[in-house]
Amino acid sequence: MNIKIRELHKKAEMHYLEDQELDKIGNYVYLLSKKTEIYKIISSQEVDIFQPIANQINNIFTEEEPEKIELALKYWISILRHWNMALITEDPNYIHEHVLDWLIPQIKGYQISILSNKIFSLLQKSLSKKLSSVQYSFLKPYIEETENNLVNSNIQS
Amino acid sequence: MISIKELLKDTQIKSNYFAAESYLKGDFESGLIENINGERVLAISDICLDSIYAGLNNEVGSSAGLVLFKCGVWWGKSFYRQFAEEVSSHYQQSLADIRMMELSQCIQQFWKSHGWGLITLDFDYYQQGFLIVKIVQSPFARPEVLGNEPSCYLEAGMLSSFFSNLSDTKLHCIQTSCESLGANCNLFVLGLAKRLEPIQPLVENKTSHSDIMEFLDKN
Repeated sequence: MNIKIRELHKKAEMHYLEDQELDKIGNYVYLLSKKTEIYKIISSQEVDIFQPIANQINNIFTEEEPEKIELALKYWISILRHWNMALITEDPNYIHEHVLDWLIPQIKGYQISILSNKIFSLLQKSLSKKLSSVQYSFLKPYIEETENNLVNSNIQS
Repeated sequence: MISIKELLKDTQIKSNYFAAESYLKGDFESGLIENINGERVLAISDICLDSIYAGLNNEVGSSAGLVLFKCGVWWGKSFYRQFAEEVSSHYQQSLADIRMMELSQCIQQFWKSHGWGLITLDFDYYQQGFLIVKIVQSPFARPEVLGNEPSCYLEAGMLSSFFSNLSDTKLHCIQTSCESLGANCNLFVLGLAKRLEPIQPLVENKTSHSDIMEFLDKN
């Protein structure tokens, strides 16, 4: 749950929520319905999003072992699922705890950083086409968090 | 051509099973902390650990380290069983079939979620028969409780037992660097007891970890 909403729980022992605080809840519920729409768009098009990416990656990385391409695609399928869950839960630590801390060492260890970065870039393009600019902006904090921690660390290493 | 539909059938798209936020939960009504399988997890304060160390030191003196090491061995045995069950069930594979990368990640995340610090496995001396384990921010490194020596005996015993079970080979473990003595991390060397025996006096003489490894490499 959104941290600001969770913090309101504590107020019950002191007073009833004020208008401004109730507005926060209303706004949260309104945005949650918008985010659920995004969730549904992405979850219903998982194959449509990733199949063209897989095809392009196959054409670009012709010398790469198929197992490594499959592994990198699986990692990004998982990352997109977690972006979507983070969108709903609004927990800033969610993607770190569940995927980034988990996958960063594996992507480095299996030496699939270049492959992974290319999938990231194709995924970004695909999502910007599937979603409206407002919908895309909801996902952006998680995309940027991943870019800063996973993609950029791959470039540096 | 890769088929995404086929890839999605694979159940092995795993994320971090041990993420603290989902792995641990509090049953506050009954005053319990539990893991995802409903097994009780205990939060121990620094004061409690210090008191156990101090009590042992008072009762058995210089044998306190050995007692803690033996307790760690028992702990590691049960811990391995629990870890193996959970990870095998999560991956639907036996521990031996799970890739080293994932297994090592599971160990790291398990450590982190339990508040035991950040663990790294170093395989640089694997060919020579040694595994180095590095742990930063270990709760078991207690300054000045066991005197002027590495203090993570409990952890060393646990690591020896855990990795003995994992490798199906009886391994000993000696701590060569300790945060309680001002080092920036705790380092443990695992290997056959016979091969590690000669480094015990080096540790007592406060030889550095790198010099100890150089010695092991040459002998």
